[in-house]
Amino acid sequence: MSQNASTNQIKNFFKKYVWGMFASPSNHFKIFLRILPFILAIVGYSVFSAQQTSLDPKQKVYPSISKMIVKFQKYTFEPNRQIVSNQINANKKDIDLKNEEIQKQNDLIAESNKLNNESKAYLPLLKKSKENPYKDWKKIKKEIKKVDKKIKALPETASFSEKTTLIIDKYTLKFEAAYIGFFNSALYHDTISSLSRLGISMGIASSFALILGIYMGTYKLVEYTLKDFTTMFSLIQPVAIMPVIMIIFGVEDFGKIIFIILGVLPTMLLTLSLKVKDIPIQTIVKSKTLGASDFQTIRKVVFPQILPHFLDTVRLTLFFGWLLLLTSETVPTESGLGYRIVVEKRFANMDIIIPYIVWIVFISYLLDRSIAMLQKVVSPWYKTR
Amino acid sequence: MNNKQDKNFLYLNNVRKVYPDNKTKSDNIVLNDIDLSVRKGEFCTVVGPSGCGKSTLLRLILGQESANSGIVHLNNQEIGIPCSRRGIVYQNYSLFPHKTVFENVMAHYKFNNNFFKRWSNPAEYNRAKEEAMHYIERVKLKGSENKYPEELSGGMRQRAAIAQSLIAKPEILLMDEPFSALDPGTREDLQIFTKDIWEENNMTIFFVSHDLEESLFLGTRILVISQHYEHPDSCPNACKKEDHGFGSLIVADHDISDYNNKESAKFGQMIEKIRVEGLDPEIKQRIEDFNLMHKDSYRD
Repeated sequence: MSQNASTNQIKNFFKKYVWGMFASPSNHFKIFLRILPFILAIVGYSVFSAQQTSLDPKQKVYPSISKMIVKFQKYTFEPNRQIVSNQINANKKDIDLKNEEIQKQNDLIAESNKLNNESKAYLPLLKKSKENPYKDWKKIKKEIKKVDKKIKALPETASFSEKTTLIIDKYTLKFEAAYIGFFNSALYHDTISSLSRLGISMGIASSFALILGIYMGTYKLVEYTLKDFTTMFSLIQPVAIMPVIMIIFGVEDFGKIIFIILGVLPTMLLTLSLKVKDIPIQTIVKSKTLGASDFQTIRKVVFPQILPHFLDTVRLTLFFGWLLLLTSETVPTESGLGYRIVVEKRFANMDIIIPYIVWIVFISYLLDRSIAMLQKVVSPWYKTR
Repeated sequence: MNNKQDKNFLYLNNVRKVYPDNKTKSDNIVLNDIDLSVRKGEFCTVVGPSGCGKSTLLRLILGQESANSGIVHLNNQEIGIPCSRRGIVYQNYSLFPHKTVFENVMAHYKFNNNFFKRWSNPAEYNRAKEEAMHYIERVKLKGSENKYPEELSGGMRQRAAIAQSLIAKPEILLMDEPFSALDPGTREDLQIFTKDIWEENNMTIFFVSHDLEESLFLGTRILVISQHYEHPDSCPNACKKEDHGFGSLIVADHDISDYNNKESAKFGQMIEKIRVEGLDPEIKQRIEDFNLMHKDSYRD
């Protein structure tokens, strides 16, 4: 009996100060919670970098913190060589004037040579893009029709071999046709790969943000632990660390998806946790007085109320997602809307870039509208004012 | 024994609530040493000047916040976090905005039963449905059961909230200024309606309001809470700084079970009396002069 009472006491204490919707951690505990993720991040990183260094002493991707501090000191307190040497050069300017002029001419020649070589490298691509698949598609369709007419016009007495040759002709034509047309076009491949990158990363980011955001908005413990860290993390510009992400996770789809997730998640999470906090506390208390458990309150009261706001957040964050996607696709791969624009930019092919941009705008408009429609279907009670 | 339990159905002893004030780095005392016991079946109303801590007291009984010291017991059990032993009707946001009226009333069944019970035990589900419809009928909302709260008028919303709370059959129903946002006509209707429901179901109601007339008309017992009194430690005249520093106390406690006629002279006199006792900041009583003559009231 006494044991039961003591466990009850511990439970009550736990519910009052640690884990629960109405728990309020004490001040010291709060400070500990706010510092905790930073400590974890620093310790985790140093352990990881030490392990990587032990595997490969020359690696430069995961430098230890002491190394970073030494390098940073060098960059803060030592003279900037570039500027200093420029100044020295400026003094020498009069003497080296002639040399420089010669140097400039040489540079120009080298640059023009380089440009020439580069354009040669893209020549095969150019040839490819000159082929018009639609023209071929029409030709083949006409030919298939011709063969069909021939088959129909065949007399009943025609030999078996005659018939089969015609039918084989038809099917080879159809086979050829299968490799042209819209579903094999560059636009289709670009759109599919770009959209799948965007969709997968936005899906992962938004589902994480939804779950964590709800818990951040309802449980003080989670809020104190994650709020400061996420705020700091959201201030890291993803574009600034893009090279690092590409080095660590690769330039293929995986790296791009991680890049978009890291860029989108923190802001989404903060927005959603604020939206959850905007839900009237009365409804939460009410559900508890009607006998709901904590999980039921989250599932049946908080979640449905946050859903329309969540969809709004996804809609608004999609613009940011597009930005990150197109940025990440400037690093070359096989296909992608942003990649195509970057490639065509080198030849100043505005005749393809402008339609691509129109196409991107069209797709993102469709996405935006469909989410807005989904919102109306999913939460009919929510009326946008 | 049973009688005593009935008497101390809701039991508060030496309850003290303090909020930390970040600006002045000092504590802001809201409730100071509240002693209260409420009998079962009582319609207890609470009035007081604004900022005196009426709603704080209600939140303590609800369990949404916990007292810094003191005991809060309901039916001889300690109050934990909000649970189905207490029902609550707020001024607004009482209903779930994403559920229709019917779903709101059914929420209690849905929270306490498995999702699949609807198919595994259809008889019970139908009974719950019928009960919900009965309550909806009782609060005169038949015909609007498929509307969302957004589409209802203020009075209808409050009626739905009352039905939603009643269906859980709470031991005590707490009401936090439920009619303050309504127009006078609807308000009067709902007052009569609440009183009817209280008589019908033999409930205990704890009703917080800033409207003196309403509280006097509805309740069987009225508590006046106020921060305007003369504390023995306070300096005699001038220092205004310490004016609100001691927290609110129950300054008056009356049996008002026979104050039902709003027009009668007795009613008006009582209102004047309570105004003097608690609501007027200019008039300050000494602690010894508090009118705690109700048979259930006590002070340690």
